[in-house]
Amino acid sequence: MAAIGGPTPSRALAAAAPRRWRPDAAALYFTAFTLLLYLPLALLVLFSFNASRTMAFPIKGWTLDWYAQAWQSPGLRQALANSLAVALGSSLAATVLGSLAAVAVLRFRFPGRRLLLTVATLPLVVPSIVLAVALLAGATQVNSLLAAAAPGLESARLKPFSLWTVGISHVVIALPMVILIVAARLVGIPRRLEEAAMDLGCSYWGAQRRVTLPLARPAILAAFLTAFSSSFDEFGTAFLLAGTRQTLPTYLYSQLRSAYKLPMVVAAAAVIIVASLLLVAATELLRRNGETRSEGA
Amino acid sequence: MSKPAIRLRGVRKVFPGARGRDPLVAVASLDLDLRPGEFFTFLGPSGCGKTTLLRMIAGFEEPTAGDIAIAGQPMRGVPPNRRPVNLVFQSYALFPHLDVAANVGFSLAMQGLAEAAIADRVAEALAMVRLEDMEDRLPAQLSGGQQQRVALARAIIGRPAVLLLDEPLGALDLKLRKAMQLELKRLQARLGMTFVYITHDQEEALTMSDRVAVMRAGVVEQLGTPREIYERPASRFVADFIGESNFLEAVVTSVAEDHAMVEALDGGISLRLDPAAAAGAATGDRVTLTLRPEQLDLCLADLGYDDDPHTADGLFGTIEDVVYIGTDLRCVVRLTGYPSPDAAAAITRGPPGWCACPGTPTGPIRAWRRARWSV
Ligand SMILES: Nc1ncnc2c1ncn2[C@@H]1O[C@H](COP(=O)(O)OP(=O)(O)O)[C@@H](O)[C@H]1O
Ligand SMILES: [Mg+2]
Repeated sequence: MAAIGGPTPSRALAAAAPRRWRPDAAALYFTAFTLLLYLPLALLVLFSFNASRTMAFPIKGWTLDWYAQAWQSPGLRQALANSLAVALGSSLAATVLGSLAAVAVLRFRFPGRRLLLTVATLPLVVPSIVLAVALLAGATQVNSLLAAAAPGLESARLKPFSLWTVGISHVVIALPMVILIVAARLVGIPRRLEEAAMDLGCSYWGAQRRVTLPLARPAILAAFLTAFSSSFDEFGTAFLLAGTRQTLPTYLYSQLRSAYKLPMVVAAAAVIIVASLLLVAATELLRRNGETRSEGA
Repeated sequence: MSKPAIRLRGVRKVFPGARGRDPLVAVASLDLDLRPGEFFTFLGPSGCGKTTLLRMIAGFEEPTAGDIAIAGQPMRGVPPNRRPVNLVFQSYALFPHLDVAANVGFSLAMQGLAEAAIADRVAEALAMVRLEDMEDRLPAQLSGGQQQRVALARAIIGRPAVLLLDEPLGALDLKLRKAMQLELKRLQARLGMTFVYITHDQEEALTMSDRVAVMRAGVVEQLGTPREIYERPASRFVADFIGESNFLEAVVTSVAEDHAMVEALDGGISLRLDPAAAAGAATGDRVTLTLRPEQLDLCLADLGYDDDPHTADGLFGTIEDVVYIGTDLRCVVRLTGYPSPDAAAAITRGPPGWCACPGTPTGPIRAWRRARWSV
């Protein structure tokens, strides 16, 4: 499940809509495009109900066994729990940090404003392997600092290979998306609305809470969902950093090695696909809602 | 006399220049006292610092220098939410996520009033701006004029000592604007509230204000009642900005007890000024004569004119253009003896029922007696 790219895809699409295209050519292109994109996913869902272990037509019979198997697998359950915990924690952290960064960049003047934006959005283009290695180095440094500050307190160490470092890497990966999504919305909220609130008796933070936050809420929620889904399906850094633990993607990958487990993996993947689609739809709906609401601003 | 509603002392605002530019003086050392209950207008062209001044009074900008006091209280360091003023924003700035009732009641909710009390006051405020039965609408569902009224109701509901209005009628069409001008004036009289009004529309300023400050590039050029400003502009800028004017550069050639003589620079024509117009003149001064179209009496050469010595010294010319504007005829007259085309035209109004075609020579354009002049 891919994270949503630009800040407002629906607007970009609307703006890019060609004016005079022959409808049949457009229909053809769109159909081919959609098939290419979704056919593999549709096939996966289809085969998850396949009674046979081999993924091939014709389908021999229908079954829900693989789903039951997946549900009962302790390894998968643990991986799912790990993934949910990491995704929830990292997306919450990324949403708070990213939203504040967006507010800072757009509402305050300070030296290095532009630099902050560049630095914060850099992870968008840095490969996750590089990120993971950098994080490992960082974790070692943090640990030596912690050891110097609190000798003997072993439990306070940041284990380089753990769900913690996976979570941190997911925060770093999600931050740029959050900043871009929230900033795109903040740009559309005129400053004079905050000033009007202050004129009518709000303190600065009161105005943020009563005016800016409600207007930005759909975007903040959308940013959270985007961060959540990006963490949930992140593979690269999770694979490198999780150590002995497993997230759902790394677990499914490890299971693929045995053909025997394949149908169960397919069933689990089908559930993830459907859940992701629902999540993306919810995100997009939220953002559109936010856009139409602010039109009177 | 009671304390001034707003007291400005040496108020100055300088914006740091953008990279490589000079700092920008938006407001230069202003001293002014606004009286309680008056309708005071800052009038000036766009960019002369009106909004900056208002934002300093509201507390959104700190003055670079000087002090502002509202109702006797010094305001330095006081945040906007603790100032006894409310601002009607140029673009209304209604909260798009709140309905009309919540918008209007916003400041009361901030004060923690009970819901029932708020509802009563909201209904009262909406009635005052004649906008009943709209409580549940969102701002996006209102017309521009209705949004304007909501913004107004929202600002007056807290009964501020001073109401600040930043070009509130700028976005409305002409007819609505005229109606709202009268309504605002009536509202102000009824509330007995001090209104500080900003506009670049001179007619609006003259219609509504008790006093007007004409601003230019951060400086108040003239302060006075609408009548004073229109009839006795203190500078050429004021005369030019307010109403239509003819200007004539001249030199004072002699000053007597009851009149002064000036000689127009271009035409070499001698004119006689009344004492009121010539007050303070000294021989040799260079002056600019300001003549309102309605101060000029135009007559046609072939109608004949009297030989009154006070009026014999008029200017002569040829009618170049006549435009019918309903209440008047607007005449452009090319003056005889003026070589440069810029200074050659005088704008005046024809007598009622008068009709003339371009090309008709005029009699003397008289009434220099009523001219204003400035150095
Ligand atoms: N925040 C600001 N930073 C820099 N320059 C500003 C700022 N606000 C206003 N100015 C400048 O100050 C001058 C006066 O602006 P303003 O008070 O808005 O004029 P007005 O309301 O009379 O049109 C303008 O030249 C404007 O560009
Ligand atoms: Mg302005």
